[in-house]
Amino acid sequence: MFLVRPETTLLTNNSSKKPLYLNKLLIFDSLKNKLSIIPIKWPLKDYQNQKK
Amino acid sequence: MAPKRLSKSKKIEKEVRKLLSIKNFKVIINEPVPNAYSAPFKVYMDLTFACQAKCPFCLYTNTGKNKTQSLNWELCKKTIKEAGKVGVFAFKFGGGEPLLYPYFWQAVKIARQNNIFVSTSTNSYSITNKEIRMLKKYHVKISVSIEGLKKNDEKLRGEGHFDRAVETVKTFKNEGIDVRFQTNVTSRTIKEIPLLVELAKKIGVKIKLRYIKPIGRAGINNFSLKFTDADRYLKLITFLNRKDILPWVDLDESLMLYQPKEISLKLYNGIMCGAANRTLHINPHGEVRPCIFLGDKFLAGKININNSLMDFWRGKNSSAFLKVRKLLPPKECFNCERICFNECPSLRIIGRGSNKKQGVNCLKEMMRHASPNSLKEFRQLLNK
Repeated sequence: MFLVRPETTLLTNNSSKKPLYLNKLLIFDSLKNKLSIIPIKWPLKDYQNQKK
Repeated sequence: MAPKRLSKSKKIEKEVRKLLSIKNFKVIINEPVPNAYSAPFKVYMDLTFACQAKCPFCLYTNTGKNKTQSLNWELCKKTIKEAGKVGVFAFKFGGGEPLLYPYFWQAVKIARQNNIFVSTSTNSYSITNKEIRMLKKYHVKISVSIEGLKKNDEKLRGEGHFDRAVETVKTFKNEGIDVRFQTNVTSRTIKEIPLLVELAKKIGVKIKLRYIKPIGRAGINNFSLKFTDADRYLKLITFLNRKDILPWVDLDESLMLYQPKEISLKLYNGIMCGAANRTLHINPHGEVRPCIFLGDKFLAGKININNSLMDFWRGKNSSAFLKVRKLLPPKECFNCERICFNECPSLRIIGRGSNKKQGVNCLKEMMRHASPNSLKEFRQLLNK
């Protein structure tokens, strides 16, 4: 079984003081203990609204 | 009839399914958390203080034969199930000797039922056929602790330990269990580490090397590396990073001479230390911290039936986690090409008494403390 976690990560301590939004898909193979990370450009509307 | 509106998470899940070619997967969507992943990748859960040994470098002061304090089973169970719901990928069950926890296999079973990968460690005193069978059944990854060669190991871990540990590793390997040795890089064992690595290589398993942190008995008994170890440290780094040795070692990032850039993908904002952004720790009292090695100043509280794991990660009990997320390393790290950025606050705060001072895991700081000859040799290697 794979676990997939879409991550919209919030940074507030970067030097520009502006929140920065990065998107990643975390894909974990729970049997093999293997984590794959896919950076994605994916402006999810729900999260975009949330940051406003 | 108008189509039924999909919930926010369903919409995201639909998008994810379009993106991926794999079929058997579960999508977990958590609310974003500022300066951290939305939930831990890994929970370190120390199940019990009970242990057959009383190692002078244990991260706790209260482990040993007569110590029975263990994590409350109901809280343990509840926490694992909750972790499964928020998509925690892995649990590392530690101790004490984790296999002495009366509910160890139940905990493993619940974790696996919740698609959580399990790793653990052992001093090898508790291994029977049952353990072998269960480790295989649940695909548990296990590390067997060893400290230096026979004389040193048995002085530190008890008589008869060395041969037992070696035999345990051989048995696990023959049974197809994912096993490795684990050793600490300490001031007292650093000279013997290359021989230990050669032993692991001969058996055909990896050896995991970790810096010992100055807390618990390790702190009291002064086991941490010191800057006076700089020459031996550079020699060790040179050895560990040899092409014929690298396949047999599992290194802390700061022990790597050439750090693979792909590691940086998992990091949050380039921060190597996982505490509070990828990891969370629970001890046998149920106390929660971003990392056990940060000590009591970063104690977040205790798990109980009324709170949840995520209360610590992003909710009402998260103040210690927020504090750790603000910790930044000395200024020179910001211009350093190495990717061990902010690894490790414990070695700075507890080891050096200040977060602004470099810890003993900083290669450049160790180079500043090395003798001219040792440094010259090391630089020649770097230039090759």
